[in-house]
Amino acid sequence: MAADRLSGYRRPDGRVGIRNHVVVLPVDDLSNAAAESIARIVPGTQALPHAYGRLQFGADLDLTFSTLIGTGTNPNVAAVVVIGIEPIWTERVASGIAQSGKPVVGLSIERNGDLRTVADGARCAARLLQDASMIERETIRREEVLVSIKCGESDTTSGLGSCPTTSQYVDHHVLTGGTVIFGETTELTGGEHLIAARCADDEVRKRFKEFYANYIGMIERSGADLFGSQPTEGNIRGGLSTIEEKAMGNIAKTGTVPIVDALDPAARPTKRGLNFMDTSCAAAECITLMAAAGAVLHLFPTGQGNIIGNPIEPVIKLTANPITATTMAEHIDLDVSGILAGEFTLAEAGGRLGEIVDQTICGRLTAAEVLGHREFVLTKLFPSA
Amino acid sequence: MDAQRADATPRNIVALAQHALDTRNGVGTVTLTFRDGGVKVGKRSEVYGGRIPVRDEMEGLGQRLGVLVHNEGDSVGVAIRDLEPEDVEASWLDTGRRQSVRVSRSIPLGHKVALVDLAEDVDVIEYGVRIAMTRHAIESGDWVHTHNIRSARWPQIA
Repeated sequence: MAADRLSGYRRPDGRVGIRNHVVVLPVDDLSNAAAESIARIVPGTQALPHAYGRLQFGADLDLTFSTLIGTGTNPNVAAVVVIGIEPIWTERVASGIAQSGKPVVGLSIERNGDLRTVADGARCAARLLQDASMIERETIRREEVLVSIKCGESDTTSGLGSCPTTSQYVDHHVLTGGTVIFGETTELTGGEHLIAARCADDEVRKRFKEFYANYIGMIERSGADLFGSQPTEGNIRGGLSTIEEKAMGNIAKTGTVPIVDALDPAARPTKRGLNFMDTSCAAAECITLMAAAGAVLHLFPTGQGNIIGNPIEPVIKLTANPITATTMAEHIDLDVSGILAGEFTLAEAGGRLGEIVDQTICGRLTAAEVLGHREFVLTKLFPSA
Repeated sequence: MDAQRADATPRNIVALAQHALDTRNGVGTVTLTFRDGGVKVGKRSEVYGGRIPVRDEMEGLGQRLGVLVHNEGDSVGVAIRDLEPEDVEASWLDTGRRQSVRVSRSIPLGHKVALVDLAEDVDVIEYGVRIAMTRHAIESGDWVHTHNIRSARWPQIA
C-alpha cells in the first residue's frame, strides 16, 4: 500500500495535517454572519457556521468548547480567526487553540459591531492566509496520519463490501503504528459484546460499557419511538431490517485489532491503535467530533449513498452497492461493488483504498471536497438554559 | 500456509471466499474449494498464483451466484442482485461452501432470503449472531425484512 513518499504539514505541536486551511470560527450562532462575511471577503479562508454557543451549561457547554477548540487545533488547520459576540468566551476559545502554537486571532462583536469586526477580521484573515500559503509540505510517516472511520446510509452491501474493505485499511494502519478512531455508540447494539471483548484491558472495557449503557439509557428514558430512525428509512430500503443487523455491518469496518481506549466525545487519543469514541451515529455530528479530536482523514463506507463531507477533514467515501456507485458516482471515491460480483478480492479492494488514501494525504481532493460538502454540526447533550 | 496447488485453475475451483474478519486465518486470506473436495486457505498469491477469478469464469461453474451468506449457521443470506423466483447459487463467506437455494419470490438487491424454515418468534441469525426475532413463521426461500422480523433489542421499534 505504501507510497514512496507521503507529504503533509507538520504543525508547531508536532502533529501532522494533510490540508492547510485557514478557518474563521464563530463561537456562537450570533457570530455566524460576521464569520461568513470575512470568508467572503477573503476567499480561500472558510467560515464554520453552527447553531449553538449561547446559554449552554455544564457538560453540554464543555463539549461545545472542546469541539470548537479541537477544531481550531486540528492539524489540517494552519491558522484561525475566532469571532464571538462577547470577549470572555471568545478569548477562552482563542487561547485554547493558541496552546497548539498556531497563529490565532480572537475578535468580539460587542462594543465593535459587525462591520468593524468584519473589517478587522478580514485584515487578520488575509495576513494569516498569506502566511499559511508559505507553509511547505514535508515528508511525513503514514502512522502520523490520524484516521477516523464512520459509515452511513448503510445497507447490506456495507457489511459485505465497503465496511470489510475499510477494515482492511484499519488493520493495516494500526499494525504499522497508526491510530484510528471509531464511534457510533448506539449502532453497536447487538454486537456490543464483540466490541467489549476486543477492549485491550478491563479498564477500557469498563469505560466502553459505561458509555454504551449511558447512551442506551438516555434513549430508553426518553420513551421515544425510534421507528424510522434506527435503522433509517434509507437503511430499510437497502435491506437492513434491525439495529442489530446494522450494527454487525458497522462493526465489520473496525478491523480485527484490539481497542486500546474508550474516549469522551472530541477527546484527543493518547494511545496508538484503535480508539473507540462515544458519539452519535449521525454522520455530521460524529465526524465533527472526530475532527475535533484531531483526526485528519476520514474513511466513510456507504450503502444507499450518504453524501457527507467535513470542512477541515477530507472524507473518502466508498460503496459496494452497484446502484449507488452508478447513480451517485460523483459522490463516490471508491467503487468496490466488484467484491459482490466476484470481480476482485477484498484484499485488492483494500489495496485500492490504500492508494486513494495515499493520494488524498498528498493533496488529491475527495469527492466531498470537490462538491463543497462541508457539514459541521455540534453535538448537543441537552437543552440550553 | 499451504503451497500453491498446481491445478488451481478456474475450472477446478468450485468456490472462493475472502475473509475480512477471519482472525484464525488472518486478514486478506482466501479459501478455495476444489472440485475434488480439497480446500486451501492462504494468501491469494499462495493458493491461486496471484490471479483473480473473473466473474465469467466463476459463472461458468454452475448456477449464477445470487446470494452471499456471512457465516455457516446463518438463517439468512443477502441477494447480490435482484432475484426472481428461481434456483440460485449461494456462497458462504467464511467457508467458501456453495449450495443452491430455491428463491420463492422477488427479492431486491441487498435484501435477505431465508435459507431455512423459521418458526414464529425464534432467533434470526446473520454474521453468526442474533440480528432479529421472527414475527411469524417464514419459509425457506422467502423474502426476510421488517414485515416478518423485528429487533430483539429495541422491541419498541414497531
